[in-house]
Amino acid sequence: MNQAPFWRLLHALVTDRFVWFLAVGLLLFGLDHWRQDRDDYHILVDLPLLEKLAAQWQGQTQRLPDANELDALVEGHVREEILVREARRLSLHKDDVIIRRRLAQKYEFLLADADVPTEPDADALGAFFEANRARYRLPETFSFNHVFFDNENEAGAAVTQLNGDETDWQSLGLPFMLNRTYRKVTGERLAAEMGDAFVVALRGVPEARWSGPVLSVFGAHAVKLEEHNAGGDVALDDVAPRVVRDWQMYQQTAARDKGMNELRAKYKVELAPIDKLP
Amino acid sequence: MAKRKLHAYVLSLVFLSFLALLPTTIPTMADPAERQAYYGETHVHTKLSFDAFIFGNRNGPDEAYRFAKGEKIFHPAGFEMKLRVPLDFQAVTDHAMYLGMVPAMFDTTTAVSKHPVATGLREAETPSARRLAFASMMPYLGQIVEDDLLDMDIVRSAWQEIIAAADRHNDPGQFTAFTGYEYTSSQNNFENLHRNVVFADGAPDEPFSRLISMNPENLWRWMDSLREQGMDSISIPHNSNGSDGFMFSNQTYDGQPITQSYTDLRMRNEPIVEVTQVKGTSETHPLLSPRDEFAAFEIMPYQIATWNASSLNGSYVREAYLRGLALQRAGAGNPYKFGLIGASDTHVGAGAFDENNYWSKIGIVDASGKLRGSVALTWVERLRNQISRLVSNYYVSGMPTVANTGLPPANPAPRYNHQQWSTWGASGLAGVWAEENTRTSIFAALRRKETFATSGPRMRVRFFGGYGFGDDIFSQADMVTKAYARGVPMGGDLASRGAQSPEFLVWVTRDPASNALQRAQIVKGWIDADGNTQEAVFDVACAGGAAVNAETQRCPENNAAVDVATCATQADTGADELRAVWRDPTYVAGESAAYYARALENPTCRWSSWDALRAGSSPNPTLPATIQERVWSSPIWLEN
Repeated sequence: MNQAPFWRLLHALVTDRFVWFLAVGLLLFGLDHWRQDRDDYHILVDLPLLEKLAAQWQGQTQRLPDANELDALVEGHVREEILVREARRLSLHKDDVIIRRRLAQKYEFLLADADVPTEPDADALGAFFEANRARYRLPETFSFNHVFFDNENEAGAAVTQLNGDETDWQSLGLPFMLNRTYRKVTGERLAAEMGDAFVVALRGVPEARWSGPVLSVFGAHAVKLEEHNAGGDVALDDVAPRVVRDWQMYQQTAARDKGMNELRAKYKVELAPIDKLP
Repeated sequence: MAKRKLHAYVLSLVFLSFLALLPTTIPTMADPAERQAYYGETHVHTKLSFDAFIFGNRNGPDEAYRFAKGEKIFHPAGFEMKLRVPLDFQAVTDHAMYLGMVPAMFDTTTAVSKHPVATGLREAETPSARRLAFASMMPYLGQIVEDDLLDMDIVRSAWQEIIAAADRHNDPGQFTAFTGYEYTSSQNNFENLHRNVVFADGAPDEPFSRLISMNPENLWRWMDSLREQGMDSISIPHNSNGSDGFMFSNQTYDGQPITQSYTDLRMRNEPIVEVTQVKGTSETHPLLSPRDEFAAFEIMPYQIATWNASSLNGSYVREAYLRGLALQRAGAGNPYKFGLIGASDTHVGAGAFDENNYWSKIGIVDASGKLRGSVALTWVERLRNQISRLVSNYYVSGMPTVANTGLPPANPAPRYNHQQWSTWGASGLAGVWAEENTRTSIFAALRRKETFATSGPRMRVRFFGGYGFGDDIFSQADMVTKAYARGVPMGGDLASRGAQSPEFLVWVTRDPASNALQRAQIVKGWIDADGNTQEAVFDVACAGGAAVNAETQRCPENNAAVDVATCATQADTGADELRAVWRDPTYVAGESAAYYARALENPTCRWSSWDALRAGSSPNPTLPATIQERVWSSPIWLEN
């Protein structure tokens, strides 16, 4: 009857399921805290770890560590583990430019690796080729032999001689630093090596007979043009391996971009009003 | 019946063993006279190098190879970068992977170096303080290395990315892509010992980094062990100019005397050296070669990533050749018998080789003329610079770091920015004489040192040493065949013939898109009768066919000049081609010597003058206004 309010309160608490819920929760929390505390300051050196350290060592030095080296590796690992944990407690990894960079790079690799088919079927390859035809257009190329002279007169005489008899063209002329025979050299490269004027002149030279003198930055040349290909469109069969490589590269880029766009869509980027740039 | 079977078996075995011999005989069938000059470079950083990423580079290995093949890519500052002519070969050489953060921390120009952990690392002076500081960095390394190992199977690593890009872009006959990386080692105090490791074909699971060992001798031992497993590689040192004398030291890394076994180890792994690149040219220095009036060429005076002067002795290749001869005479063998190449060391995935199309190498911090110190600042910019300089000097001088990195010197031209990169330049290229454009052929050329370096333009040089070339050899169409038959090409050893003076054949052609040639030279280093090392530079062919003055060993003045206001050039003479057969007039029977060829263009505007011209600024008077672009051959060693 005279029960003090204290006992009434206790009774009420003991019979209240919510209080029991809180008490058990606190107990579990405490236990977990104790366990985590114990684990946080517990470093296990087991066989898988040793194997991992030895494999890392072997990867870089091409041999397995001896006993002393393994000891040093373990000691290094333990020290590192302690420092990593302490650093994390201080949140030193937050906003670290190196760590951010590495995490972003790894995620980007993941995006590019996601479900990318490795071999295209014929339709996909054909469509990719059609869409990128311009990239596979052939450059202008030349195939020719030439004999080099330091003056136009001798070059002209050589043209006459070579068209007139069976003289071995290789025995004529001066030594030449660059090639004496060019096969399918691009006009761009030829212009870089011999000068623009040489390429322009070569376009006007008839095929399959000696012509000249054709002038380069170095001197005068007797030239026998074997083939001039103005370049242009190409059939898929002629460049298939290259198209496959590009297609594979494109798949990775596309997967990365698609993944990035999907992620981006989840985020709202807010621009704070800025009066003027710093 | 059984006997016959046995016979057939033995016969087929004999036949098969002959087959096994075949591959070794095929390469010798290739005619060396068919070798052509291929151009490339072996020093390219992409976004996978941590320091490059921090400076804004977002180009990866794929972009770097596409650039080399002639496509345009973009600079972090937004402008297009495109080569005048595509390269024939290239190696992407990022700092060894996730460990790339280490050089970034040592490099005081980077943001990461301002991190307390990084400054601690640089400030440590005693070995124990150093260890402590290093330990403080471990959490960062640990985080990354550990994660890498955990995720190796699900995430591609940067190293795999690099190998895959090289394999994808390697196109035998058209373009050669090598796998490589930079081993970014140093002595204790920023004495640059950086090397690029380039693999002939294939690549190991992991690169050997400075965290395994800072001692390059251990890198070479690792390369030896890979070679025993059939994977060949070479390491190519660079920026000896910033090594404070350690790159071509007279001692080993640990301060021991050099021995024959050190020499063998080094020469197995380091047949060539990168003599020129963005951060200066390391051929020689005016104070080392006072009688070479062309020695003051693209000198970069600092230790890498510091403001400290780099010691001259031991930092330049010409002196290294002399040291090598002296070590050989002392019985230690010649550890400095290396050939020469050039490369860019770009950190934006794209080398800048042309003076009139230059973007330096780092990224956003050296992207414009004003940042590079070639274009005058406005007074507002100058004021802002002065203030930030005072503040940062005040801040920096309070830190022990200064003992290691030094403070910027007083700005010699206050109207202009003054940074380390103000002393850099548009250089350089590697040339190799190879049978074909494949990994096998170009790697073999690098190994046998049949290589040359240019300061950017595509000059070509042939250089042979031998006996009895004949003065009319240049009028013979099969001259190259004869030169190979009668002598050795650049990079080779020429056996001495006692009293008979050796002959050298030099042949240089110009780059049609650059300036005409002024002179071809031969540089000789030798040991005289008193045992002292000597060097001399001989002009051997002059533009306009002029004769060399026998007294001065120089070509006559050709009045070559540049109008810096317009960059127009003029000269009395200029050659498309220079050639000479030269007999050494100073040869003394029995001497050992090294000879290399050098050829100079007539002067043109330097990048800094082009920057100023385009911006309408007056040029920075403390930077050279003009440049004589040049080519260097690998040496030929006269052996007794």
